[in-house]
Amino acid sequence: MLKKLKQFYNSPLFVFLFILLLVVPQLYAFALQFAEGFVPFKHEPERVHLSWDMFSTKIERCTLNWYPAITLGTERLSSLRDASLPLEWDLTFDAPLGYRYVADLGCHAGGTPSTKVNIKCFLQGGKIFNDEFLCN
Amino acid sequence: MMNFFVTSSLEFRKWTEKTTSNKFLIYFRIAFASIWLVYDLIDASTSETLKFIWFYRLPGTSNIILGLQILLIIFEFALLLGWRPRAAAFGAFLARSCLCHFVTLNDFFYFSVMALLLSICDTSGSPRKPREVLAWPRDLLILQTGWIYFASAILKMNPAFLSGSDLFVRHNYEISILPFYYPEFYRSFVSTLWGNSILSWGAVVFELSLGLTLFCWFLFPKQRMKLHYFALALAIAIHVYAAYGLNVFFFGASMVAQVVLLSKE
Repeated sequence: MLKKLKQFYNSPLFVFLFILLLVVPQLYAFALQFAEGFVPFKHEPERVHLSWDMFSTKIERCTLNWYPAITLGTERLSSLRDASLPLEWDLTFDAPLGYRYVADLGCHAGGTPSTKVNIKCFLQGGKIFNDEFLCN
Repeated sequence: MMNFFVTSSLEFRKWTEKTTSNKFLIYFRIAFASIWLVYDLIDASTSETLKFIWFYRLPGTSNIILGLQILLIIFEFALLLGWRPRAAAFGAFLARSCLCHFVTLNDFFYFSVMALLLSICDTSGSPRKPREVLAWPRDLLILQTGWIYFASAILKMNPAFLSGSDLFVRHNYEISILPFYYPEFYRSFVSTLWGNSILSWGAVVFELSLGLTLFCWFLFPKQRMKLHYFALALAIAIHVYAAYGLNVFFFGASMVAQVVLLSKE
């Protein structure tokens, strides 16, 4: 049995099947980008697994702060940055809506109605947007 | 037409029978396992992925995630030590693929594909006593690397990236969370759209060149030495910049190891 498996591993058929296994999902993912509207130099791609779209999709990022700091479990967070390691694991979202959602999540889980929230967003086209509100 | 298929299948058969020394494959196995072992040890001990699950409200329980991370650490240790490396790589592929179900990071997809490829490579033994092994798994690793750079460069050819908007967002976000991370001249350079646009075009040109260089490495065996050094220079330039400028360390280190070690004959 083992001998037969070894023979199969060394056969061109195995190599061919393995290449298919590797190529088909990746080419499909790449083609899906075009099907979902990506046009080189005209339209941005979307997130598609296995299409190698790192740094290609349109993003907007924000910094999120709570004043005074909120308490989540045993941790006190004055900003979303405090929740994770600043390098490599930094917690981020691709749109301001995600930050707004976490701001509310933090308010409900560990804030008070008088906790102030500050969101500063870096938007497409080099724009910057600042917003401040109370947890309520 | 018939002739084309016959010739192609003969060439394909010849390619599957070619052999190479496994010295640099062993080095790559060690480098890959070390890089991702460090990643997973930090990740599991500081619960970073678990925080992702909580903040992003992703499906998945902490016990499952932690279990998968422990499995990954075990498989990466085995891969590092060369203990049943094929089985360890396949185990790592399965564990990371399961983790991808909960956290859909490109880094995790990359790891899964590479671990699957390593599971068909003969990387057993020591680099001091290399053996002749089949060359096609190593060639596939190179072609896969080339495809990652090529596809990534093509998808970056879009208005948001090339105009500098995306890099503006990323850089200025980094500046606001880590105010002293960049030197003053770089801070003022990346606070402009045109500065980010130059960097974006540079990234696309470099990635596309690296992808094509790796395809050429496969197609023109006689030029491999020259192409190796060219690929090495491009990979270092891309990933040193991405690590420092864009806060991506482990993926870059793994890609550099891949280009440096696998394209060496």
